Amino acid sequence: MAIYEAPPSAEQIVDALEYFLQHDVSPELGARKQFRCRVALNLLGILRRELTQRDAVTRQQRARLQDILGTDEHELSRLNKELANQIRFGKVELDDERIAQHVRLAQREHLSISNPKWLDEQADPSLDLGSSKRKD
Amino acid sequence: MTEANHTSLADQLVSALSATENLPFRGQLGVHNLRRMPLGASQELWEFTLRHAEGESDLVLRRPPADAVAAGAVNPLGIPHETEMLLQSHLSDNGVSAPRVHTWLSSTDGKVQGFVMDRLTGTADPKTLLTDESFARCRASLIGELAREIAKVHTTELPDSLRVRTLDAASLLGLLRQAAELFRLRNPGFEWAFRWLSERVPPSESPRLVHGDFRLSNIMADEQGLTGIIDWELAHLGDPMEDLGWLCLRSWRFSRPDLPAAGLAHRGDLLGAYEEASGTRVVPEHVQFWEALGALKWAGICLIQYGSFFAAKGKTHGGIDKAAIGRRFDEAMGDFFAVVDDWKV
Repeated sequence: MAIYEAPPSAEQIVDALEYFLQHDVSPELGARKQFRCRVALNLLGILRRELTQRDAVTRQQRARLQDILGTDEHELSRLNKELANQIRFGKVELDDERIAQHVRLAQREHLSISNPKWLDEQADPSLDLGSSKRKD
Repeated sequence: MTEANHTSLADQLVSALSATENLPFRGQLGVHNLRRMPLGASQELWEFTLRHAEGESDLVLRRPPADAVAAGAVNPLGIPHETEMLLQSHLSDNGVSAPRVHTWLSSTDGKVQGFVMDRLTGTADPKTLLTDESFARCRASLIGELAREIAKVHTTELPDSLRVRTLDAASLLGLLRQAAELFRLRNPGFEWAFRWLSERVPPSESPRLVHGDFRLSNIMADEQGLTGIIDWELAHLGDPMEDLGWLCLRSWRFSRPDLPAAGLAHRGDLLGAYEEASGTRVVPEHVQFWEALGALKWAGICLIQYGSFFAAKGKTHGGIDKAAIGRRFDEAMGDFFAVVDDWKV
């Protein structure tokens, strides 16, 4: 797969976009659009973490779901659908140790991509004020 | 909005106010400093100074955005604009600190298309409330004031002419299920949360008036303390514990996630002050239930916001906001598990 070995990598493209928005675009904008530019930068951050962490997260979730469901199904979306249905239709107990643990772990894995700061704040309340819903 | 539109809105306000009887403003009326406020997610807010024979009064016009009216957009959880006005009027007449309503603007077909009320003093900006040095005194007493004020709301009786819908825990769960079906959500965490809640719905008592979006962004306070509760669009009949749980949601604690009661205090401070003001006993598990349901409702709102956008419009203007709010689904689910696992008074 030579094409992926040639620069720039997906991460490098994210780097370039991030730099461009931060240093070339944002200073030219008014306050309202500058806010949206920050939203765009946040989304690029999510994309970067998705690129670097998604494979590992998928592997871990797949392994846990296969274990819980006792199947060798490979497709993560099918595994999720199956467990979702089993919980929904009462085929498993909520306090089943492996299930209760899996849904919490999966949650933290998703947050480590979407907003790792949220996980940090659990232990250490930071002074980030921008994270909540903004009325615009 | 152009200069000409500003002028015509000012004229509309003057003629509506001049045509209203029994207003506290007499003489020749003049609208000045009309300005769109940078607040209001679903409604426009315009502030202005009204000059009259006795001096000047600061007022606010609240109205649905013109494009939403044209598109016939309705918030599925909201009450009609006219009902919101009548409700707010009823509340301020009955001793609740809600802005007093003076008059309304009507469209050509006679529908209420905006209403004019007092501008409360202070700010609705949570950042100012939670961090500004000059609000230190306000912060010290605010949670008690909020508890007393919301207790008043919960004991307000509505006249038969004022109909707002009943929305209890079971119907909220039903709406969440609909959203999950609509967007084909297949998420074990969501299903786990949904079942945890379904198994713990508190016994229903006679439904009370509930604000429905009780948090710092929807209250006004100045350096002395609370000046009022605003934004009654999501008011309904239901379980009063819904307002207490929603107020504690992690998403509205801003810089103070360590202080569950609105970033101001501990849950016990809120519940104690509420019990004292309302003369009722609060069951902590019910508050926990509503805080957890609040988190899942917030997750559902994130889902609906991005899901309906991408289903309808795909790659168009505004997509980045919707994509960002869509990913906040994960935070809301994190809030849910934190409430289930770490909740304490």
